[in-house]
Amino acid sequence: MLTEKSDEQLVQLAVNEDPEAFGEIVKRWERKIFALCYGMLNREDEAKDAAQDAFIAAYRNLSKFRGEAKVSSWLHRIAVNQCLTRKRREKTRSESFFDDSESSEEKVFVAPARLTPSRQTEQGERIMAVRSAVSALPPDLRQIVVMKEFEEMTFQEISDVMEIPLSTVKSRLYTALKQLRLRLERTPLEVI
Amino acid sequence: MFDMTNRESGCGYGDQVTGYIYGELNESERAIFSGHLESCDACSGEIESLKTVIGAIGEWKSNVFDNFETPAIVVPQAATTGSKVPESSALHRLREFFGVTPLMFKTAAGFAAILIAAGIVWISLDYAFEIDVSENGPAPVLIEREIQNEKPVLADNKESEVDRETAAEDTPATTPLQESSPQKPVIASNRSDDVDSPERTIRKPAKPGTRPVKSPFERTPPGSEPRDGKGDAIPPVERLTVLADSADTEDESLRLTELFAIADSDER
Repeated sequence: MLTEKSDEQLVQLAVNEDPEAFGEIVKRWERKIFALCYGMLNREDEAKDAAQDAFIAAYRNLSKFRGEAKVSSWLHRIAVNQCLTRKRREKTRSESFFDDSESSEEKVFVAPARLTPSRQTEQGERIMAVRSAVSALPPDLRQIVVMKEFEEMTFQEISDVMEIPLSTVKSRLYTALKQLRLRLERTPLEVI
Repeated sequence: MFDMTNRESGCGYGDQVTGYIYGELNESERAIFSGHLESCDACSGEIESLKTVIGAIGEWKSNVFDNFETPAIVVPQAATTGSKVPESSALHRLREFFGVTPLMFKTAAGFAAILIAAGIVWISLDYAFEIDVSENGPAPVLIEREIQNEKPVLADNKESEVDRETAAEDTPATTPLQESSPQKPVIASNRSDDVDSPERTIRKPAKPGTRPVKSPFERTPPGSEPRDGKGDAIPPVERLTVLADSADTEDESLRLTELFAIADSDER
């Protein structure tokens, strides 16, 4: 049974042209990869496309997977790269509402104009504010917040996926949470 | 509004705060940090405020995913059939690369491409001009006038004087330069104005003492052309070659080179 096999065994089977093996990998990870993409891109359609592209890219590069990292880490890394590529593309097209540049840390969070209390519930507005604040984080901080909160990955797993030291993961998450706190304090809503 | 300012712990336990919140400290670390929290209000406040932020993110997450059906990822068709998905083409990859390249780099690449194109055009034009000059060369009539100007300096060559007079008689009313001016717009137009101003000839007069050079264009009376050992008339180009081989100075060599080019074009 494919469901009893580990990710690494499934990859081996997929490399050996087992038609069902890669499908099982997709089933196992699609929700988490989609959640990661959604947290990174903040748009459902974009997240779906990015997750799709990530799995296609993984499939194309199955033969290059040498088993030095976990399959989950490998998939996450591919998905993060897909999201960053899409973000960069979006930025070059000037379609991005928020600027993802390194200097965005210094920018003041501005609540979206469509945030009209009369039309949305208070909870919806709070969620919108949190969502916008997370989107306004620099990409390297946002990745860690999404991985930790959306995917509930451990610090060690994040460290493996992003190939950065464990201490860096902790300090980045700490910085990200503090920035989120600061941004949410500036909103006119009682978000937190 | 929830005021959370001035809650920075500033006690060097910053990295431990997140580990403590997410329960990822080992036993010893947890024991040490718990002891620290009892005496540090800043860290306690920090942890409480960050937990509030995490709670807000959690609310967003549950709102999105609790009532949300994760879209099924479509596995590539090739994955189920066993055949490999074809690699993307080089053009596709190039397009993909430029799709994510920042605008500044795109601009720089465009500018560089324009510079390269301009350089290629410039080099091509320069090369074409050089070919034009070497193929057309100075007009024969100017050479003759120049040689006339040089004659007083080269007075010791009586044979050249005779040849020059013969050539002057044979010079047609319409000079070769004027005839060929449509094919040589730049050179001919500049020089045709100077036909009557010998002081504006291009080349310097020969230095005193230099050996006279007989122009291959100076016409010799029929039957008096230089002949080789077999009695055949030596064509002007071969005569020039002989002269070039025997040139003593650099000036002579240069002039002979030009004359050689003229003779070549004339023959053509």
